[in-house]
Amino acid sequence: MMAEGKKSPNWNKDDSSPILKIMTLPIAIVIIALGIMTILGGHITPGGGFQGGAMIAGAIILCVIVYGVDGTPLKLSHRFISTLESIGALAYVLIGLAGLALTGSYLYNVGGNLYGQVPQAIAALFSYPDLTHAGIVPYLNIAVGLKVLVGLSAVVIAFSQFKKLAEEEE
Amino acid sequence: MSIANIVIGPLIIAIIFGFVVGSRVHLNLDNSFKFTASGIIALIIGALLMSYGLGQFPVYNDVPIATTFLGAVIGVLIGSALLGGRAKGDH
Repeated sequence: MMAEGKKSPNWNKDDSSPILKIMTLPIAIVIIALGIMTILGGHITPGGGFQGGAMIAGAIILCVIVYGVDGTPLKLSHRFISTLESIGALAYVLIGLAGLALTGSYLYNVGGNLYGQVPQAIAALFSYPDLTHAGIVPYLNIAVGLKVLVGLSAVVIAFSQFKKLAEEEE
Repeated sequence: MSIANIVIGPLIIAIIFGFVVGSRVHLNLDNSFKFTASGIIALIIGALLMSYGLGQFPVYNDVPIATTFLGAVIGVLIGSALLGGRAKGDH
């Protein structure tokens, strides 16, 4: 019970607390960076495109939950989501088709070229610039990561707007 | 283990990836973390400590910090500083 004369803070009941609002964005940035690290280390450490993409989507979902879908600092527009989704899917298919066109096997690791079926000049085009020479695997991880990060985020953004949509229809 | 042997490829990809995601981060909202100079320095120091704790990927053996993590944080900050304030969210 509040004492007479003392006013309670005028918090909006639907709003998150200031502590959450201040701390969520830096934490989300750190989670995004961890997700990117997970994607880029997918060929040598546990993790990969799906796991890293899910971590980045987790950061976006965290912001949507704390700030609300209208006030979130991590705003994904419809065009951004569709562009990243298309780039991810197209990159995966095209990298796979490169293997099919050059060797007859879909998703053949053209950059790694373990069986020597591709000329060295073409293999150099697809090689990943690190010490492992993993070929196309990191690029596939990046494509999957792009798809997953916008896919999972889009699901949560859509769910968070169903209530508003239903209120508009009434 | 020296900075001359640093693996530059994943670092550049991390910065680009961070830039793409960071281009949607609005830094000038009133109700969230204030990205003043001191706020950004605190975030970078925190990221440096964290990247030392994480360590580099197993076979790279160049520097003892996670360069991709640090590159991603810097990419997000650059992307949000250059494009984040002007990104139009229409969801």
